[in-house]
Amino acid sequence: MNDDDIHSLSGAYAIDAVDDAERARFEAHLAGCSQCQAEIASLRAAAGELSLTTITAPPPSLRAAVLRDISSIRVLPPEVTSEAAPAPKLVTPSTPSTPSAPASLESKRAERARRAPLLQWLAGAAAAAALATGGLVWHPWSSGTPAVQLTATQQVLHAKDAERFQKKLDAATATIVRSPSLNKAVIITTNLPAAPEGKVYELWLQQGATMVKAGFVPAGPSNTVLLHGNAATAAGAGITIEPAGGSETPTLPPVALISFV
Amino acid sequence: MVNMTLVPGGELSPVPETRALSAGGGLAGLLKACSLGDETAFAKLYDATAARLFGLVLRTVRDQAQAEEVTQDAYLDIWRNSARFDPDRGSATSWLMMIGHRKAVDRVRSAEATRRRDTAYEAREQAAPFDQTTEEAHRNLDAQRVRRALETLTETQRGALELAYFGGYTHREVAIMMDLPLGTAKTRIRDGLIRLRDTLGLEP
Ligand SMILES: [Zn+2]
Repeated sequence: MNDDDIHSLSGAYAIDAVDDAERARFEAHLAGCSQCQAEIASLRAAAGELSLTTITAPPPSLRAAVLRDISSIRVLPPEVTSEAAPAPKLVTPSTPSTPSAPASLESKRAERARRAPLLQWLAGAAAAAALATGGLVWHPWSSGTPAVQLTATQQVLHAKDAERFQKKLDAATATIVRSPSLNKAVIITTNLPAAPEGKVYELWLQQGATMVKAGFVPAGPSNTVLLHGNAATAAGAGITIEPAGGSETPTLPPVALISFV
Repeated sequence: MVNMTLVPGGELSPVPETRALSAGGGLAGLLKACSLGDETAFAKLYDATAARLFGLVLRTVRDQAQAEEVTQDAYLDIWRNSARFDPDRGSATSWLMMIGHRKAVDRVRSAEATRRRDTAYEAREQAAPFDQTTEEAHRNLDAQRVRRALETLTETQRGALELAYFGGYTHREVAIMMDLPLGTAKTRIRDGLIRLRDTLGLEP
């Protein structure tokens, strides 16, 4: 997915009209795009106004229940940003990294300082919205505060020991990001042509001499998908074309084989 | 619980009722008080926003019992995270509605929702007694203003936005539902939101 594509996802992201993989990919982009940060804040404000058209009083029992419950819930502390916080490290495998010349460091720092408040606001709101889903993880762009939960996909993309393996297939690319410590891998596909009618792209992990089913690539040229199975022990991953519903063993030849060794 | 809130000067002062019920400034002040553990401020925040948040959640989950659960869950998160809200970074209303909306969307996409959804919502909604007070009349004016702004959207923009926002569908699902080419629905949603924002005179 190129940068123009990802910008255009801002509206859908602002109103939660994205799936988990898209959310992960967009948030990786959002951390470095002040344009999208500002736009999302304004689009969320606009969307929030739609609730003026659906006003409905809740029953009094709900008020009583809510007020009863809060007295046993501790308010989380505010986010504390340290002056000495290290620059956030971003792993955005779909974007080529741009080397930063020393001269640009100062302006980058200024840019980060300028956009930090909005980011924290977005992060706080996202954290509040996501709290019920479990598994708190620290997000790299929140300066070390536990502000945002990462999906499993994001955890892999941001893992310290994340390794990248890329395969080019004509215009398409398949990139695997694997974190041995998390025992998980994510595949990012771009420009992947549609599977033939009635067929799907199935994913595999190579365990010893056996290819083990690891999920599917959804329809669409660009996707980010978490593979099922033990990625740490796998020697490689494969993509094959299978009948809808998938197969028990891979159909040969594979579309791509990506070696981890 | 004392009906007091800490103000920047360090002195204690009561939260003015009218401010609390008016625009974002008052809500932001209430959230600040919540972050200091002020349960009375939270009750005021609830009273000032519950009909709006519950209405949004109900519209999306379409089931009274589930809407109550989701709304309760949202308000507990609002309380828990009140210290994380900063008025310089967006309006309190926007923050509250975002939390409620995200919770509602999570619920309709979960298997639990599919299992429990009933079809009584429409009937209940139409049967609800309509007791128009002055406050409700004002709310109706607000609703009219938003509906008029929605009318400035193209039919496709409005349809895509409503399916996504109120229906809780992803842009990919919206594209299929509306027979739009893949990738088009997200653009329509974004264009529609931008037009809505500009028509309502919100800061870009
Ligand atoms: Zn952007």
